[in-house]
Amino acid sequence: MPQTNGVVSLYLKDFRSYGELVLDTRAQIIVITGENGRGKTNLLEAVSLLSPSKGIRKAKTTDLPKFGSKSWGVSAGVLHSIHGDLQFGVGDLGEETPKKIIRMNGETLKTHQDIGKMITQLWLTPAMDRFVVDAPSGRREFIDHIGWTFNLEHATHISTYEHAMKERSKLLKDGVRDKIWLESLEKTIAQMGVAIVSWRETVLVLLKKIIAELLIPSGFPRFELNFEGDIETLIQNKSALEAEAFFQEKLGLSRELDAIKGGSSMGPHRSDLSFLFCPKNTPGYLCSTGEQKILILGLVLSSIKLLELKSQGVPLLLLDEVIAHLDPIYRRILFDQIKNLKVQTWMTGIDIKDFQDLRSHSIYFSP
Amino acid sequence: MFGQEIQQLIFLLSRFPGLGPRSGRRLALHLLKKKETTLLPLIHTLQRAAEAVKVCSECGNLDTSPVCSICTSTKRDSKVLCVVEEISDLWALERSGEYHGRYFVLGGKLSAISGVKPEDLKIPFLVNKIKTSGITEVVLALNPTLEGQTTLYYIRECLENLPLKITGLAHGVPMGGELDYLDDATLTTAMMRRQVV
Ligand SMILES: Nc1ncnc2c1ncn2[C@@H]1O[C@H](COP(=O)(O)OP(=O)(O)O)[C@@H](O)[C@H]1O
Ligand SMILES: [Mg+2]
Ligand SMILES: [Zn+2]
Repeated sequence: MPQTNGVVSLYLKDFRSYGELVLDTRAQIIVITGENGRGKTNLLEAVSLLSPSKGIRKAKTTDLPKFGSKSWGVSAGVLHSIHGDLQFGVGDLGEETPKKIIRMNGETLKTHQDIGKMITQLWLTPAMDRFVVDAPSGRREFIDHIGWTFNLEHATHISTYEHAMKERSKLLKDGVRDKIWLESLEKTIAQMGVAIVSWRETVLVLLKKIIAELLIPSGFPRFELNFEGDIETLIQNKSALEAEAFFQEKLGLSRELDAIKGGSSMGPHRSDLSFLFCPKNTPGYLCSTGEQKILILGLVLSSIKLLELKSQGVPLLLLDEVIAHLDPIYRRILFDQIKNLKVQTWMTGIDIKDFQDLRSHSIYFSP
Repeated sequence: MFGQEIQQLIFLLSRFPGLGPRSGRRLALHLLKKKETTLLPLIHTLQRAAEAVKVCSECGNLDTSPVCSICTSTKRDSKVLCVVEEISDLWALERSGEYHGRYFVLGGKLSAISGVKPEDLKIPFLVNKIKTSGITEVVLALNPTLEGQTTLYYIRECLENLPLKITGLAHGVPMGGELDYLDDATLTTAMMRRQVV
């Protein structure tokens, strides 16, 4: 079996439904099958916790220890193309106050963000089924997450933007109309706002290239991604400096309105990522459940490929119950993509027979 | 487990910046075990500091005279004024040894959310001081955080049209980093290469 960068071994201790589990995961694809409630998602969740986030379920750390236990732990041997063999551990030692700690090669990481530099994960779970039609914030966060994974400045820009926006809202709400103070904040908001939108556009351009060069040629249905919003329109025919000046001026003019409504009616926090399903020329939100699944799958596949190309971390893709909505044609397309990705992929499903075509690249596990 | 006095001591020690319950216990034990050589001299020093140390009425620094030794020193360039957020920043810049002018300590940074307004930072006082005391360069050595940069912009705008050179620390101070945490060499370079803002 080809040696893939990724998790090569996994050890769970008192994690969710598992008392103790040791798994050899030296394969490009790890297929986890079994009936409902067997612990398939729990296993993906364990892997997803090898990240700065709260994992695929966004769970509280107190929900993670096996019933009756206070401590829990997940450790993993990871093969990294540059750093070689790494050992990661995440867990809670079970002291008075619950506290998640992350270790790399035996040393506790100072900030949880640091593990994100070594492992970059993306996942698709049933909870994301309505991604295409849900509130726009989820779609913005997805692209922003991709964006800062290989450009940390993007994260700084977003947090500075949000912070400045809160400061401005507070001044407006309190009736403070200090011109210089407001101008200073609005200047920052405009600069950060244009930088955020520009970087999102860059990410989209890269994703579109991958979609066109990798997904479409192997039979994936054509689809389009676009960011829509005032700043997006602005930067199409203005320089960044002009766009900043224009945005700042707009903010200056809308103070009284924003004082009443809160926030601001313009800015990257209002942008939305839209989909177009080309075979039928339908916008994403009008697509069938199955078609929506294809769209989000297309986004996730192209994104993990982008991370594989651009980020320093080992890419991991987690797909929970993804094939359920897919007819045989799309299953085959998905499997071809996964085999070609060069990214370790973890998949769950009910019936092992559904995964026969992945045999050459997979190891199988039934909890 | 402990008597009231020990508990109170641990509690107070553990609330110092950078300390916690564990280091609070260690410190308390250390002080109590070596009473003659650590605890009693400390009490004496604390008492004297409490009586003698004052806030400088000119710059906001701490010293034992009403106007601090930096403000009264004739060796320092009285035409250059460096504005910092906290006394810890002033101390950090003094450690780096590259700066020879005087200081003004704001005692914070503009923040709507924390309710810190220009008056709370004595910005009107600062602007008046700059206008009336023959200062030719103002160095705005503020932290590269949102609040720090907002404060920088605010003061700069208040000083607009005055015959002044207004500078800020050179880039390389990372966004979100605080001056006090920078190593001396980085801070020295940032001060040496200060730029007009
Ligand atoms: N902290 C926990 N301790 C023990 N069992 C748990 C814990 N959290 C969840 N479970 C159990 O794990 C099972 C769900 O496992 P899951 O991985 O979601 O199943 P599936 O195979 O359907 O994906 C449930 O039966 C649930 O009771
Ligand atoms: Mg499940
Ligand atoms: Zn002084």
